[in-house]
Amino acid sequence: MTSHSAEVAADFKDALQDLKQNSRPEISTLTIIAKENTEHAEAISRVLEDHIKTTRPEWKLPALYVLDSIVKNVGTPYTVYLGRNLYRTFIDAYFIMDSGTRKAMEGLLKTWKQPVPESMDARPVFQPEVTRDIETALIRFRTVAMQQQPRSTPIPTRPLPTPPPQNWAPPPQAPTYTPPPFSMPPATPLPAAPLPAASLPAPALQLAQLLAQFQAAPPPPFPVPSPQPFYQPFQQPFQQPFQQPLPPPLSTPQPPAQTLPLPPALGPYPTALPTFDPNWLQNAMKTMNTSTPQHTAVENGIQVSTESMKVARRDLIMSKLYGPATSQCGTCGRRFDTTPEGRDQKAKHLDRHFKVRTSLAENRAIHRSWYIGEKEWIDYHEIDEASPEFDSVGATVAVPNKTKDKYVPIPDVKDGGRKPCPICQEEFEDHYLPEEDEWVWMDAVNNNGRIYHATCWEEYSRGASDSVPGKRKNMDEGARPGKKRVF
Amino acid sequence: MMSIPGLNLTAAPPETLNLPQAIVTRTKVLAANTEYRFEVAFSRTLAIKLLFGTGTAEFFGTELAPNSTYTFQGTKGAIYTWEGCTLEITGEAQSEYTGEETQMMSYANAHLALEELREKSLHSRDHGPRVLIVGPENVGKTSLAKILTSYAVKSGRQPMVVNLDPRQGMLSAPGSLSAAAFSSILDIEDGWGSSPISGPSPVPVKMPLVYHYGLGNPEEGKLFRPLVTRMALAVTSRLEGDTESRQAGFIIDSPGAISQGKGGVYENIEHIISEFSVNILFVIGSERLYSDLTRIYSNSNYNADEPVAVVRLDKSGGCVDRDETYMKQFRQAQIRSYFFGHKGDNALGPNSQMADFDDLSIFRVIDGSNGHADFRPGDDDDVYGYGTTIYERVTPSSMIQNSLLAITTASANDKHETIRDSSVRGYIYVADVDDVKKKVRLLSPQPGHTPPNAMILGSFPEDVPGLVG
Ligand SMILES: Nc1ncnc2c1ncn2[C@@H]1O[C@H](COP(=O)(O)OP(=O)(O)O)[C@@H](O)[C@H]1O
Ligand SMILES: [Mg+2]
Ligand SMILES: [Zn+2]
Ligand SMILES: [Zn+2]
Repeated sequence: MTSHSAEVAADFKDALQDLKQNSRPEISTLTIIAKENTEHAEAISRVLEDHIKTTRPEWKLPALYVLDSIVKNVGTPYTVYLGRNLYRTFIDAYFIMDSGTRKAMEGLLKTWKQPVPESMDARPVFQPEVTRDIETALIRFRTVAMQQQPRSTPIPTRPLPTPPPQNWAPPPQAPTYTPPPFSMPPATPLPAAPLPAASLPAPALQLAQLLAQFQAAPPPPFPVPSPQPFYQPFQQPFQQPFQQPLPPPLSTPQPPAQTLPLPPALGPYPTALPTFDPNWLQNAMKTMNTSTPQHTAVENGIQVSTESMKVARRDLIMSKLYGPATSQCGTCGRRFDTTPEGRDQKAKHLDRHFKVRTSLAENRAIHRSWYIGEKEWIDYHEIDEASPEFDSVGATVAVPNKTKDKYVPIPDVKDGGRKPCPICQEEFEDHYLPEEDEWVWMDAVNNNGRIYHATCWEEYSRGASDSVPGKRKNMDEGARPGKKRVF
Repeated sequence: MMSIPGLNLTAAPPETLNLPQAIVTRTKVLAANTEYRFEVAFSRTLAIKLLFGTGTAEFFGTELAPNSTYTFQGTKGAIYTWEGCTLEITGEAQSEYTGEETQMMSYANAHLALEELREKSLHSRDHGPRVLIVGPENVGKTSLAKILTSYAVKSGRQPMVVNLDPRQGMLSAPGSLSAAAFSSILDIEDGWGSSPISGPSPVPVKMPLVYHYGLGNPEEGKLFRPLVTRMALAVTSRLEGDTESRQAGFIIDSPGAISQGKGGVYENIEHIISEFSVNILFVIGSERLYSDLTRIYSNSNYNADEPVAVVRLDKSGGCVDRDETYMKQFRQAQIRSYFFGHKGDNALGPNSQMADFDDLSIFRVIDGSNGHADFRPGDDDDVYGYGTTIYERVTPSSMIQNSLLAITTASANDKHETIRDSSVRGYIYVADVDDVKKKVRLLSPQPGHTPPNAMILGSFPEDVPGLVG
């Protein structure tokens, strides 16, 4: 089932890559594929998220409409799977959009906070936590953006959007989609006329046909209630004749993602659906190669010797490096345990990616910092950016609050803007504080509305006669990296 | 002394960078336990993407994120897969092929063995494994160091990595020796990653301690061993307070030259082992070196508190001999990225500033070939008595144009030993010298004063002409 998931996902991905405009028929087709393959919902969701992340900016909005259409027309389990990463999917795309597209996305978000129109389910499309986090981020982003120059060009992100491969063919190892061993009716062409639900062919076959139609030159004559060819996300869900009743746990709480028994009414499947294993990908890969049991022992008695290096310990290595219960960051490839702590770490980690991207988007001039001094390096220790400690102390070990660690937010133009330090006449340096997610001047204090170097001010107010303004030397004292260094 | 704000500096592009190139996209299906080996010129770009859902892949131990595009320039390397995967490759490689036979199993075994020692040190609260990697040039020492580091990070450790090979900088310019603890992944596109910058960095920055050696060959001159001693002191002190890194242990990468030996004696290797209390010695690619070192460190001959395990590892068939032309380009790329960042998002804006000749206190390394014909390495206690001459003070002249100056934490009046043992705060580049006006134009990583500190000018790395366009 799992390698089958990969195939379905690959086909779905292929179809997605042809979606280059807001085309209602294409979006409908993709929605149907998703609907007919709910047992591969996780794989499909990942492919969709991934496509939104990597495709060209101008193709992202149509892909988001696919997401919107799927969650509104199919609902669970897609709302669960897509909801998990919705924050990232949405925010990452949002940042590289022009303002018109952002407006459209904000509109989408609004509808996700509400129930599906005309649905009996009174619950919002996505759980409130999911949409709330996105909204918070948008508010924060707007605040930051307001302080910046208005920008019109799209902001580059990393990885740079590359055009998707033109004719990506599934690799030989993963052959093109083959129907699963269901007993199925002989291949009949999909009728162009409204299709009664009861006469649907086996889902896999239908998928193949849909895909074939999808790729055929003239758009399939889908009977849609509205004559307009554009997908209108704010409308009610489209009512195709082939539509199944919406998943009906309409007023019951959403079941947890792990074992999500689909309501029997949903599709032409045999009633008991396989449970959704969140680690399908890892499992799929494991079954592709060896199927030997995992070693879990911590100590394996591996000698530090030349002979011991030659022993094949494949399974042990795999379980240590690609642990079965891990999930990977889609941006940088780092793995996290699927334990609650691991999930927290991953969330924190993703938040960092987000903050970095936000501030990269601000396009400040940045430069290489001086290396820290020997003494400071000895006292320094690393803190994992994903660990719970990270927030409280920032990227580095906590240093007692020294004068030069004082900082002020960079003043707005209305507050006088950029003026040099009145004492030494030097410009302040801009620094980004990841802990505060803020741009600041380090070694700075605000006294009666004027900003001074904290060290200059201290010397000045001490009346130190031996100090020469402009030659602030404190080379040997450690400073926190990335912050104001003076020689 | 003045700085020129608003002067918009851009790195001079490497000459051939923007030539049109055929962008051919192809997919490459890798079977389990094989690797895609490639070489990309500095003037070309190769983009590699692990296709989603096709398996996992790693670059010297660091896992690729699926469907992310990684671009390489001036790189020789391999994407390895334990389970098989499909890559999408765009761009032009000088050479590319699939390596069926790799050493990854034995390198991963090395990691597993180190992990056991780390587990033990967790309980005993003692030091984790202290590893030195030795072997001739281009046998994959640095690659092994990266793999072991990546795997350790992946296992939740914070290993300390020490680079003692000046020919290739780690998180710093060539000519330096450096050390850093790794708590975050290595940057696949950018070697070991980046030292701190004033803004956010997509891959977390690493925090190196840097000393400037200033020569290319550790067997020449008289600076290498005292710097090893100094580095060992700093690392040992750091590990005293840094529980996480102490327990993860350290990995020392070394220059090929120290593995040549003189009549079966390897003074620099022995010096490193004793200064750092190394207890695991990985020897790559030389049978002779392995047998010599086994003899030296076999329990009966070697009298130390703790035995040294000498372990032989085979050289990977993928290792590429890098000629001087490549190494030189590689170093220039390292220096360029020190000032200008890697590329794209990581672009940095250095500062151009003018300084008077009098503002600069430049100390040139007197190397072994420079009037010290009778120099014998080894007797550093005598050579480095009080007030020894290690450097000569030079006044700026067009001679220093295009060179790199290491800014130490020492003052110009300090003893030479103090200057030598001072860590480095960073580098500045001499863009222009005006002999008449007695002014120099400098490229500094950041705005501010030209520091009055002692600056070291070595014979290595070589000059970098045209860093500023
Ligand atoms: N398995 C491999 N496939 C392709 N290139 C490799 C492989 N292993 C190492 N290399 C390359 O070969 C060169 C030499 O390896 P390196 O680790 O730097 O050797 P050393 O540190 O011993 O001089 C480097 O450019 C490295 O990237
Ligand atoms: Mg090396
Ligand atoms: Zn990440
Ligand atoms: Zn000041």
